[in-house]
Amino acid sequence: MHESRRSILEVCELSCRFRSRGLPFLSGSRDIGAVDGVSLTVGRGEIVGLVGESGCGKSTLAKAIVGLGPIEARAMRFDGTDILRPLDRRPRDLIRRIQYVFQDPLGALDPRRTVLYQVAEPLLIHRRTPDAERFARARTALRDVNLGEEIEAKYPHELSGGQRQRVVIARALVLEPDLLVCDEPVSALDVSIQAQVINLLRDLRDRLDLSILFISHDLAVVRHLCDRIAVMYLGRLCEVGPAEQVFGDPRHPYTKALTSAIPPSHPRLAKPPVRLPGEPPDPGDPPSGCRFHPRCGDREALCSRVVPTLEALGDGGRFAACHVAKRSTPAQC
Amino acid sequence: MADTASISTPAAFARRFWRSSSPSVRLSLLWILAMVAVAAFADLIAPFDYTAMDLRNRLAPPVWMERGSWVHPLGTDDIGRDVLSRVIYSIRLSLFVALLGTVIGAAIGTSIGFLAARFRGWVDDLVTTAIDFQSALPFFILALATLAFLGNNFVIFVAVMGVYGWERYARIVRGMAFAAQAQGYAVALRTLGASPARIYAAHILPNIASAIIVNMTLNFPETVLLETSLSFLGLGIQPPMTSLGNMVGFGRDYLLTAWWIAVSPAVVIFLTTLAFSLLGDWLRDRLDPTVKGR
Repeated sequence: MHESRRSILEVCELSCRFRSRGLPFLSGSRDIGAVDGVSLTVGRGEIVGLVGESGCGKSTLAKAIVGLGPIEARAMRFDGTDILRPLDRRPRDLIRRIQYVFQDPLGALDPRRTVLYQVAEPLLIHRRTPDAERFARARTALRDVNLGEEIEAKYPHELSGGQRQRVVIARALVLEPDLLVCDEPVSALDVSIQAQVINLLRDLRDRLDLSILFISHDLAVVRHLCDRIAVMYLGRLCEVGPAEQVFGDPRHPYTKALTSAIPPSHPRLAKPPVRLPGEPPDPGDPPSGCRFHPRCGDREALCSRVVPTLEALGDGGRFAACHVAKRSTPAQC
Repeated sequence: MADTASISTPAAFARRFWRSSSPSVRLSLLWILAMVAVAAFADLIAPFDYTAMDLRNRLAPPVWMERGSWVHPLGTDDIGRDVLSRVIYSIRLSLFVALLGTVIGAAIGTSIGFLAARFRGWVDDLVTTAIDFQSALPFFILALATLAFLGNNFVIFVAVMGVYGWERYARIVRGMAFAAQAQGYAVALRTLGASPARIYAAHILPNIASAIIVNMTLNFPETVLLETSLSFLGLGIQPPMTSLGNMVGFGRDYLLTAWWIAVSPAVVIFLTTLAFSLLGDWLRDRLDPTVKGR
């Protein structure tokens, strides 16, 4: 939190709980904590990657930040202002400054409107520009994401996957946001198009000083793109740190298992992958103590009893929530 | 869904229509267009005014019968009014009332369906209950009671026509709006800051319009029949105005001696409702994304 002066987004102990109803009369309702006490910051002009397996709460966290879905938190601030409220109770300008890019670009676009109309529409909604300039601005945004004139009059179903995702990004960019929350923006695209979109995001960050929260389960993509990484497991963060350090020298056992799954650059460098026993537990009934302990190779007696907090590991901006990692770290000088 | 958006020119539309339709659908469209033309140009086509009496030619038979003449091709009624002219003016009035009723019904039903989808909770419960209530109640009885209590004038009559069938629009629109809200584009528009009014009017409505239009074409003939039934019973359009139903009603007294007074409008009612039903059926098959193998 030492960077709070420069950070654009600060999330402090955010939780998202859903009520699961179950069968009438047979089973009672119970709360499912999809996200549990997550604290995270995104700096200005920084790209933060949020990784974790399916169902660990990445998307729920992203939706909570843009104001969709249930939120409880100690604090959530955007550029100093409190944003701990649902979307329809946020000031319009705040809505404008935080934009969300969807996983499924075809679903996120209205099938019956042309590309140009949909990219210009946010300007109409926010009355940011005079009517005459609106389409010119939309065209500029489309140029910014490397889309040509020929797609302006097309409908979403006539575009390729990469074009659609770039249209969605252009639609978010016309509003000149400060923070882009990208929820698995490339997982539906094939590899060559993934590269286009990722290079585009990096380029936009460099040119527009945009901050990006990039959610993905694809470690190679995250490693290539992000400055910092946050690793999530079953609704909690287990490790946070600069991308190269987290991948090069993972501290949390879960991160170790994850990074061992990345294919090495040369076969001779290959290390045996760490295999995790068992399945991810049910988020409605999480294990006691450290949520990872039933699958952890390094677990101790303490792990099943005490919940580890995310603590600094001494060297430059690294955090982990693990009793074992904490102890093996040399004392801070 | 997707390919209907790419239809742009009228010529392309006509080609697609020709390729996908059966002869009965083509004939239906032709008949409907003819009826619309008749309604639009009634003043020019009709040989006489619908109230003009020709007392020397009372109960004259149609032209192909003995004593028939080209002056009154479909004969005359009991006070010598030209049946052809009256049918022409009746088509205008009946179609106008049915169209107005259908449009009003669609507007009411769509708005109520949207309200239920927007506010959910008790509003939705109320709307759902009202829909069930309305569909359990025979509308004809309701219409008779309303007209009997409130008296009859043109405005009340059209209002009753408008209320007819609202529950079907409301049910369809409510369901489709619920589904559309969960779709990415509606959520995306919310995160862009769009107001609910914009999301519903500019995005969800165009996306579910095809279902509403299909329901309108299916509702239209029923409204025509309701109008003619009420007019037949004397609770609908009042003389001197004339509608297809009230022509049949007044022609009933002469059914044995001068059948043409009742049969001419009855044939028009039959053919028009049949044409609309066939066209509506075809449209529903065309626009329903689950029936793709055409």
